[in-house]
Order: sequence, then structure tokens, then C-alpha cells
Amino acid sequence: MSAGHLQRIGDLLGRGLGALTGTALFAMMLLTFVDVIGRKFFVAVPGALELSEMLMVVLLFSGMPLVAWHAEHVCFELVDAMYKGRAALWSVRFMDGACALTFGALAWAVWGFAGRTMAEGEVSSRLHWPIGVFIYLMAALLACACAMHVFRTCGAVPAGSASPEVTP
Amino acid sequence: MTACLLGFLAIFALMALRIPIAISMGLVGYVGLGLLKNFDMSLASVLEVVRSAGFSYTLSVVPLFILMGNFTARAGMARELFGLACAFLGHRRGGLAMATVGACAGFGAVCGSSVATAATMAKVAYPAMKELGYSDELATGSISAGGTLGILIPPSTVMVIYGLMTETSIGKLFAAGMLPGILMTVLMCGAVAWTAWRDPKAGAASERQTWLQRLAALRAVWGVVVLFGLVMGGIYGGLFTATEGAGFGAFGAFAFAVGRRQLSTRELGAILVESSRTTAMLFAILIGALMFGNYVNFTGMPDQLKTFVSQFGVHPIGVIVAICVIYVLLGTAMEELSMILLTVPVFFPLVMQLGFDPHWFGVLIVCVVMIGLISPPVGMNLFVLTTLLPGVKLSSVFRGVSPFIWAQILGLALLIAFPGISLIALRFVK
Repeated sequence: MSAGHLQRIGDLLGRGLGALTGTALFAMMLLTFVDVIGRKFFVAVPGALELSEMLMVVLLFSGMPLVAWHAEHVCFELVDAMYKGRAALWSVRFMDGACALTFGALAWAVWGFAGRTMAEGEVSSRLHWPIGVFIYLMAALLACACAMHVFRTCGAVPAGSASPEVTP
Repeated sequence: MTACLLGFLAIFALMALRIPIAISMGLVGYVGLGLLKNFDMSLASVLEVVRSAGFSYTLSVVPLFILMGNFTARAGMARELFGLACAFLGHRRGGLAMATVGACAGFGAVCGSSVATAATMAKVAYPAMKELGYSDELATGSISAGGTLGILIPPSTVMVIYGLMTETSIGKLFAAGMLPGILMTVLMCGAVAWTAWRDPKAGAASERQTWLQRLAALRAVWGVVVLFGLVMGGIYGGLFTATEGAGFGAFGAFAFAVGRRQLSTRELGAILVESSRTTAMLFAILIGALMFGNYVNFTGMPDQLKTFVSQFGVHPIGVIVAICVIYVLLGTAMEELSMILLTVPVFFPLVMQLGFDPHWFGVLIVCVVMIGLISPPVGMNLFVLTTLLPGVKLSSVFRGVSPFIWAQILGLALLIAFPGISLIALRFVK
């Protein structure tokens, strides 16, 4: 698969995840506001705290692949000047490869953890939602972050952004 | 102590290979704990950290304050704050630069981010200063340094993260930051005055405004006053927690932006995604730091450090000064939040064992972060300005910011010498 194909897949995945994470954040803001007003003047939103926790999972873990795709992880910028020409390109590829491995391994471990949580039948205390489902979601989204790093390792970058090849 | 130092060395080695700081800390934490104990326990610790960071209601304060800051930046409140500050200070030499610092302080009261404050004020204040013939050095220096007030004057994202990491009350931390924020504002205005005194051409005075004009400017900032009053008043009045205050503030800022017709659906989407991405990036570092923190605690480094310090009979304030010097030096080379998250697990227990107040130490931490944000060569605010103002040379920004760095170092010294400046406000918090 060419870098162009991977770029399109990455951008498409990024748009979907952007919609997911943005909606989760907006919902969390509305929920907090409505819950505070409701608790003071009317009635509290049932299970608002648990809903916020679930929304945090969606918000955070769907944001991770976006950070990966747009190369927004914080790095030690002073060392950038040490890498020039092809060394710069290969160091970026190496970094993306290492991140892909880390996120992949973490996704795998979290997937197993989700299975164990499901087997134990753990549910949230108020809404009785299965916690394992959300941990599965965490694992899937971490796998997406791994995929984004793999795409970047193969030379794909988000549309409109500079390719690492142009790094001086 | 050797195991912990090796851990730090490993992190720096990975960072030199351009591995992100979050991944470096997480990997070293996992491998370190695995080697010291066993890998099953280490993996369990990693999974617990990932799960608790994900399912954390308390941590939802972070994205909500980030969102509030981004909505506030969009709502156009910065322009009115700058107008007010200009009305009162513009007639002085360097007055617009002082007004910029003052407006940054006001904007910091509704936005907890240094970068957002600097970026917003760059768009508002820089054209006005250039119109009056201000030098690039003074204009960019005042904006980039003034922007750092965003994280000292509550609400503050850095204080929230420090509070969450050290289990210190976020409400009290916010209160502790108020007077230091005013002190830093005054000192930075002093830096402007000093620059304008040395080079009168750098910052000309504009026309003095009448009291009627000043009153009109004062009326225009009602939005900021209402938002700040709602969030901080709500938190200190016991109406809601910091997390609820953040949600309330984000909704308030959203309502202002919509009410002023400053927010299209497309921009709303962009702000939400940008806020989520910033949150995810911060949480990646937080998760990595928590994994590394577990390793640091297991090595017993904090206790050994205390024994090490007591062997030399160093005065406790000497330890604080040494920590601040380390932070200021590290801040010139490292991204500030990562630096804090990396080192707080080591320094915080030591500082507590020495009997210092966690809120006071939190304020000091924020101050060193402020200095780091404008210290060359990797001060984040400096790069924000050169990105937003492509006609300005980085060297001009570097030169312009130096009086402000000294002002902030003086402020830090005063805060160390007189802890009461930070702590007096705590008496009024329940």
C-alpha cells in the first residue's frame, strides 16, 4: 500500500476520531453544566459522575490517535538540530516505529485486561454499564494510535502537513 | 538512589533518540519496575495507571479548563481587556506594553493557558504597538512574558495538573496564585518601564484618555468579570468543585462566544478537536509520568534524597533555592510540563518532609514554568509569537524577553523569601 493510500486512510480515520472526541468533550461540558444547575435548583442528572468518566475515556483515547497522526507528542526539541538530512528522516521514522510498538503492546495488554474485566462482570455502580466494554474501547483506540504511527513510519503524513523528508 | 538516577539517564537517552517524553517516561517506568520487582507486577501497575487516568472524573477538570480557555480566546474578550488597560496606562512611556501585560493578567483570569493568552494577545496588542512605532523587542517581549500570567492567575492548567499529581486542593492552589499573579504583573510592568527608560524610542506614549472614555472601557469588560466571578466565586463560595467550575466556565465562555457571534459551527468543531488533542497530549505525558513516578517511589529515591540533603546540613530554604535553580536550568531545555511531571515525584516528597506548604511550592513551580516558557532556546511562548508574527525575527524576541526573565526571577526570589504572599489568601478559603 502506498504512502498516498495510507495518508487517505489516516485522514479519514482522523476525521472520524476528531468527531468522536469533540462530541465527547462537548457532551461533557453540557453534562457538567446541566448537572450543576440541576443539583442546585432542580434535580441532579442520574449517574452524571459515571457518564463524565465514560466520556473522559472516549475523549482521551480517541484523542491519542490524533496526537499520533499529527505528530504532536512532546519531544526534546534541542536534539532536533543534531539530526540533519537523512539522519533526520530516519530518526523520525525510528521514533514513529518505537511509538507504534509501544502503543501496539499497550493496546494488546489493555485488550487482555478488558477481557478479564468483562469476565469478572464488573459494572459501574449507578448506571450498571459494563466497564469492560469501555476498556475494550480504550484498547481499540490505542490500536488506532499504533496504526497512525505505522502509517507515519511508512512515510504517510496528514494532508497539508510537511513531510519529514523536507526536514533540513 | 542509583536505580533512580539510571532511570533518569535512560529517559534522557531515549529523548535524545527523539522518542516522545511520554513514551520515554512510560517505558522506563515499566522496564525499571519490571527489573526491580517483576514484569507481571509492572504490567499490572501500567494497566492500573491507564485505567485510573481514563476513568477519572477528577481529571476531567483538565479538558474543561482547556476548552474554557479556547472559547474565551475566540469570544473576543482580549480586545476589550486591552482597551481597558490602554485607557488607564497608554499615556505612559511604554504604556501599550504595560497595557499588554495588564490585559494578559486580566485574560489569565478567564483562561488557564499561557500559550493561548500569548497567542490571543499577539493578535490584539501587536498591531496597536507597531502602529505607535514600538520596537519589535518590547512588543514581543511584553506579549510573550505577559502570556505566562495565564498560568499563574487562576484558573491555571499547570496548577490543576500539579494539584492532581500531588493531591493538593486545586481551589486553594488557585487562591495561592492570586497575589503572586498581581506581583508578577507589577514586576513585568516595571520591566517595561525599565526598557522604555533605557530606550525611549522603543515605546512611545499615546494620548491620555478622559475619565469618560475610561469608564466606557471599564463597562466593556463586563463579560470577563462575570465569567471570572462565576467560576472563582462558585468554587470559593462552595457552590461547586473545581471540576464543576471548569464545566460551568467552559459553558459560560461558549455562551459568550455564541452570543457575540464569534463562533461558527466549523470553528466550534475545530475548537473542540483542538482542545481534545491538547488534552490527549497532556494525558499521554501524565500517564507516562505516573508510570515513572511508581518506579521512582519503588526505588525509595525521595527518602534517600532527604537523608542525602540532611547529611550536608543544608538549610531547607537552600534546598528550595537549589530545586528552583534546577528547574530554571531544565526549563531552558525541556518542555515545561514534562519537566514538572518528571521531577515532581522526586522533589515533592522531599519538600513535604522539609515541612513546606504544598500550595506555596505549587506557586513556585508555576513561576519556574513561567520562566521556562520565555527562556531561550526552547521557550514555548517565543515560538508561538514567531509563528504568529512571521515578520518578527526570533533574535528580536529573544532580546526583548530578557528584562522580563529578570523580572520573573526577582518575583520568584520574593515569593521564596516571603511565603506569605502566596499563603495569605488561603486564610479566606474554606
